[in-house]
Amino acid sequence: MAVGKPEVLKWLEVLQQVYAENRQWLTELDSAIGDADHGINMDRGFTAVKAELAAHPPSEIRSVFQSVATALIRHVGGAAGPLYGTFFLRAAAACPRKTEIEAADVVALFQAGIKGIEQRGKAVGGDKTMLDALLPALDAMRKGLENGCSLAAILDAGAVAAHAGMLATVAMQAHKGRASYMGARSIGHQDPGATSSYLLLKAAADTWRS
Amino acid sequence: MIGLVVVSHSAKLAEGVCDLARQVGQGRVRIAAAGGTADPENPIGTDAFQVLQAIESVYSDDGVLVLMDLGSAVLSAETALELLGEEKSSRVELCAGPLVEGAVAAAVLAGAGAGIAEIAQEAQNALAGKVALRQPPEGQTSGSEEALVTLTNRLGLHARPAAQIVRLARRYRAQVTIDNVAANSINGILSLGAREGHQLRICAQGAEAREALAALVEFIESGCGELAPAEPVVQAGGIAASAAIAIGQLVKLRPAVMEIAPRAIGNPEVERQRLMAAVHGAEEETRALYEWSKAHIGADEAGIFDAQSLFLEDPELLGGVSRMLLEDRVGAESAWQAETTKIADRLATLEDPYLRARAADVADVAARVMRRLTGQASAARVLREPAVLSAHDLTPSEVKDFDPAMVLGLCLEAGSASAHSVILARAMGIPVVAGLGPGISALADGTVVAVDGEQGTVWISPDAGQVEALEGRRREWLAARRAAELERHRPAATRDGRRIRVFANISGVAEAAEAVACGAEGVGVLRTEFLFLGRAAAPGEEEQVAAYRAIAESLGGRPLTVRTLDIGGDKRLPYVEIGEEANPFLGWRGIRVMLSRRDLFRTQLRAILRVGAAQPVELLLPMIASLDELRETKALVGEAEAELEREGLPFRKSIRIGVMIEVPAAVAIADRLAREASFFSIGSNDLIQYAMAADRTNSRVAPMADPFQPAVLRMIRQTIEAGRAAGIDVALCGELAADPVATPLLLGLGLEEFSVSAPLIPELKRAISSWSAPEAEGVAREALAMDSCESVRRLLLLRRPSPEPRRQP
Repeated sequence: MAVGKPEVLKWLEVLQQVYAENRQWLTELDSAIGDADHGINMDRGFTAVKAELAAHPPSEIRSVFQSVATALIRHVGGAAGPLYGTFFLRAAAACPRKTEIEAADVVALFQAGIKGIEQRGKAVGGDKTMLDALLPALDAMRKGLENGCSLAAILDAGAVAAHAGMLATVAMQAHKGRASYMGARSIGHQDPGATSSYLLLKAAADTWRS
Repeated sequence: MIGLVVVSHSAKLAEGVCDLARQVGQGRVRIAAAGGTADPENPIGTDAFQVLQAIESVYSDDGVLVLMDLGSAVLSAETALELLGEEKSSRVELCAGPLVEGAVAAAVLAGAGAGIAEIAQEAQNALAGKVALRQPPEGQTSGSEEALVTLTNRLGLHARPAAQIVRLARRYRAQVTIDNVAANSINGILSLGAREGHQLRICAQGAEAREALAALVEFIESGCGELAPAEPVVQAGGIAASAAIAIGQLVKLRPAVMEIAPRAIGNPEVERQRLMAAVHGAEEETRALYEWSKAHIGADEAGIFDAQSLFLEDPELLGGVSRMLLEDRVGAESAWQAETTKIADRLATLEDPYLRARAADVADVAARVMRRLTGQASAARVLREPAVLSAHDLTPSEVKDFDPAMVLGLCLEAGSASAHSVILARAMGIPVVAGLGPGISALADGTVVAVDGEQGTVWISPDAGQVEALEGRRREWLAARRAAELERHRPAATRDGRRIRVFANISGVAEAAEAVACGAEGVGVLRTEFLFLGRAAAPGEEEQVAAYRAIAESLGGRPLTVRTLDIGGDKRLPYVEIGEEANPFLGWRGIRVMLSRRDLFRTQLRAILRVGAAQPVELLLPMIASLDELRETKALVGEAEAELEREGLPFRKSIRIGVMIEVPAAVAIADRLAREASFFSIGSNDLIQYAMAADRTNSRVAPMADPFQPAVLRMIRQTIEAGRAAGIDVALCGELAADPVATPLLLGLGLEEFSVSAPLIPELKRAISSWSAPEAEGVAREALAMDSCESVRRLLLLRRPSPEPRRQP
């Protein structure tokens, strides 16, 4: 299948619900090794996204991503704002001006966004950050694309890899962000950023399955 | 000079750090805060868009240094760079230095004119001074050298020598401390507060300890390069008053104290005739000064000399002098000196600062007569070869007397960039540094100095390298000025060639010449309140004619829109009794006052009509809320025309009468007003406040008074459409017109005339030329579809043209 503007909007709508439902969970994760605001920030950010999209329906897919980026940068507040904001900014830039985008476009778009987070946060895999969910997911999606899988299969592979990556952060020591101040005491806790990144991919896989 | 941006999670912290930095930035460094988020419920955080705005507010091609507090501040700053675009962001440096110490160090160095790389490094290392202070004094260890040296330069270790010490210390592989403070830290060195006579203990450790020590001792002993005779490199900082550079020998201009040689006084009538001859001569000279200034500088500056002529005809003064000649039997010189000094002294003691400043004019014109009586030439005239002049302060006519070929530059102990004399010098192309303090007079005549009026620096005995560098800058400056001049005076147009008129808002004679210099095509609003405020009685018709005419003449044929007196609201006049009002802004103001004070209105209308006889003058009515007000005014204009006709005075027939659209009621009836007015001028400042019922000086509701409110935008659209349907011109003259973010929106709504304060014109013209009409229309359509001012602003920020040059469509 291909993804059109309605599907993209649906994904964002689902994301708003997902972050609202998981607000408490993300915040609890963050209270263990951070400043206990990640759930609140993500919920606020995507609520702002929802309001913005409802108020000013964008004309094309890339302008949807632009609006999302602006809303997140303006409303999230913590580090997640510029990071996810950059994700959507770069995704917008990579998005072709088409009414429907193909599997290859979707992977390219995620790749651009994830590279953006990498550049912005200057973290690497193993630092106990969102990248620990996103990088394995990107790998899996690229492999899926190379093997000629359907978009649904590609996204499923991405979400599965992100989930594994998220769980792997429990054993890691944080080297970036607020959690890095805790040193070895950050070991044993799941990273809230990797968790919100997993939720992002999971929602895409769930929404764009059929 | 580079700009500084302070990014913090807390708005208070960011502002506080900026305050600290501004203290040491000598008021010259542009510093902006980007603290907290725009979300009042979660104020702690950072917002890339705020960082972006802060960077743009202090941006120049010299670069911008950004200091940040923790975590996401850095991420937001980087995101801001991405939004800023490549060209500009390549000149922005994100600095990892400590926020407070880094900002202070950066402001000091920026104020001293350092480059961005050096500033970034210094800000990065800004903790070194504090770290060293907290370390216990080290004992003597092997390889360490120590010396005691006395500071001999008069100003102590201020920013410039401190920076030189830091540079010197860094040149060697050695850890150097001065009085236990690390010598590689500008903050540390400045924190010593060392003054002349202080003994400094310098310690150096490391491979090149000895060399470092020797170099520093030599530098400090030589007076840190600030003792003119020993090491002829001195610099004095003042106010950059005239952007140009000159190099030459210094000549001190002594105050014009007139020597009166004792001599026998004969017939008082002979003395009186001598005096009158001198006065007439001085009058002619003054008249010539007036004409010259009017032609070369503008009617405003010339006005000084016009007033001086009146003084020379003053019957009280001339009567007083004649009486002295007769009764006291003194010479013309003494009598003139005594009487004019008396008047100048009386003026000098008045409370009104304007009148007090007139004392200088009296002294100026009095000296002109004295020079004729005594045959002494003015000081500047005795220059035999080109020189740089130093003086305490100068009068306009002293400056006027200067021959720019002989007076290369001016160093003033007092004065400011806005003094009339300095404005004259600037217009004559003479570089000026003002506010240098008494030190400059201590220099011997003949000392070679370089005057850098751009940075406000005087270099004393500059070396060949400095001279070469300064001359290079002078050439660059001249070339840049020529280019800017051409650019400024090009008419504004969109990229696809739609002509847009860019006018100036002015409120006085002074700003008229500035408007022309900045590239205004005319004056969109002359606020006439300047003539009426601060005096006991209303100005008469002749005075108003003189003022409006002076402005019109200095516009050199460009159109002048005169707004009739807009009094009331926050402006009161002693001769217009308004009384207590619960809501002055909803009270008796603007056209309402004038229609009931027919005496005031009639005089002003007559004056405007008369000036219009020879000049392209239009009439603009403030606060119109109903058709009746416009019709009533037109009837009064008709009466004034009939009177002038009867009196045989020339006047402008069928003057164009425009209406300010600043009350929502006027917007609602814009279609009807458009049938009876010649043009509209949207006064967005008041319109926004009245439309939103929000006072922008009330901080609780001020955010509502946002120009991008959908309600306001619809009103602007409605006004422009009504004007277009009726075929009349529509201008916008509020602050909104000058905001480059709003430019595509206004262009897209069909606005064809912008009226802004003069200095903002070049930037506005640039903004206009970066849009094509169809692009702007697209932006306006999108903006008008938005539901909140935040969305509109965001849209406009996102739609800003990318820095890459676009292809022509």
